[in-house]
Amino acid sequence: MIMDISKRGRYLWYGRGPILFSGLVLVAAILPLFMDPFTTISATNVFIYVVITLSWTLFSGPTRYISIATAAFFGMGIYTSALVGEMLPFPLVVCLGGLVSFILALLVGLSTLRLKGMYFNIFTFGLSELIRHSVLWWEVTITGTVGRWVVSVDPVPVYYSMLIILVITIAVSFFIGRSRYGLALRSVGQSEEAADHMGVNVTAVKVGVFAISAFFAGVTGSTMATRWSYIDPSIAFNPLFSFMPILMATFGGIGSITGQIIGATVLTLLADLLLTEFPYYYMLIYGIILVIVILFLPGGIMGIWESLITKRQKETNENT
Amino acid sequence: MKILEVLGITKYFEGLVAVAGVDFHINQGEVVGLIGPNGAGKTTLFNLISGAITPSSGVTLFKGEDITRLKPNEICKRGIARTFQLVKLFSDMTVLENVLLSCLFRKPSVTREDAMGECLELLNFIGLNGMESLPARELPIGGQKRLEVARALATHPELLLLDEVMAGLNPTEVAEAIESIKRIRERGVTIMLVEHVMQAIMDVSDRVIVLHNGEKIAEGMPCEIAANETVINVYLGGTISC
Repeated sequence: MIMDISKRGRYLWYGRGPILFSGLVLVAAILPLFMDPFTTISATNVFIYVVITLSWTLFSGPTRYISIATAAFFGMGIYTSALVGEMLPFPLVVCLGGLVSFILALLVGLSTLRLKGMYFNIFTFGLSELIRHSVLWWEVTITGTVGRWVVSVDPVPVYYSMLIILVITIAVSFFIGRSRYGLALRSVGQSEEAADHMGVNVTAVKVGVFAISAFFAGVTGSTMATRWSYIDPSIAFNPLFSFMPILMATFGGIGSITGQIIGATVLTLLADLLLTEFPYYYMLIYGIILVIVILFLPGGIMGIWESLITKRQKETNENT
Repeated sequence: MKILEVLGITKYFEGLVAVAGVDFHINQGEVVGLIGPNGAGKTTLFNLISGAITPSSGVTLFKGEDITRLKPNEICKRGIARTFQLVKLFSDMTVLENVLLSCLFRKPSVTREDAMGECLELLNFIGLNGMESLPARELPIGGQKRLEVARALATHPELLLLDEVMAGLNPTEVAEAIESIKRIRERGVTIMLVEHVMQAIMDVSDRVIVLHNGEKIAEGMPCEIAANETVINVYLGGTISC
């Protein structure tokens, strides 16, 4: 009768959830055999946005610390790829990109997670911009160029790399969410002072999960850089990469992993479609759709789903 | 044995003295009441002990160890738990999850099964059984105050600081709260409580400390305090039975 997180977790672990999940992963793993390169790239694009959405929500969802720094960690991954891409094998480059973002997030987290609310939001946004302009300054003054060439990798290995990252991100989000740290993150979001007084080392939990979240943005950046072949600071640290995960998570429903996956997938495909069909009005239409969604679906897609379920439950209760 | 010893603790906020050189101690197993007019520094004193704020000067010793500059979570792990005057529950989490958090972050660690069992037992003890899966925000104020206490108890404290747990309760609930405090004491927990409900203070306390303008102005048995002229003048405003 008691719905507690440990029981829900166990149900998903032994129940239909993992079977469905493994099935989907298996399908995704054999798909490239049947897809043309364009579809493969399109699917990879979906994976990217799902991963950065999940990684953003991992920290910002439960704690309600709205980070606008995803672009910083994503961009660090991209630049790692550009710097060491020629020297190291692809998987190692990807891991290194994640590590650089992880370390950056640890340093940033330790110095800024005492900031709360609006101050934290503005700081994280400022951080992205600061890094972008610092890299730009470095390139212009020291290196003498603005852009860089990145060693390119074929679409199919990139697809598999992103698929592996996606599976790990989903697993990590799931297990952190069900663990005592998931509970602690939620308690921080509701009363940080009380959480501290109940024995939770709030600084360690916050900084740790913030860094894990940055790691996933970093590996995604490193992987993607190989598809773009040319990068410069304004491409790598494009603020859109900070805003997109927030929009996609809100659209899907912040409380649920499934919701975020659906939200990111739908919005990415929509953006692709608009970009090819209406190249000049793409951002305008996209913006209008987002405004409508935020206004009329405050709980996101999962919000509609849940209200449908409660409605049906009510009806069955009335019938019996 | 002295479980808590506070020596000359002082806290300035800008130029204002909130707590001025307060000395006192609490013995193991005691129930100590802390009273005084609004703004006397009672909650500030609790905040200083629990680590929510650091003192300008002075020392706090818990079981002989200096805990003055430790963080709240470190102080909690050493065995001091507290409730908040304005309830600070995890309002979107369920009643059970609120208590579970304290259990799961305790040292030494417990398995989830044991923690669950213990939390259900604690909720039963405090009178919140049957409300486990309710979001904490949906509890009435009396229930929220109880949940604050249950959550603090789940950290396995040796010393429990109760900050006005009876404020806003009706007379029946106050009587129940007094019973609860007595039963918590029977579990071997030392208690310090801030309260404006004088009947409760006189009923449960072994000793009462009176604060006024950040200074300790009196200390003694409940009856001595009730008869103390300074205390009557600054706080009680008349004689009360004890």
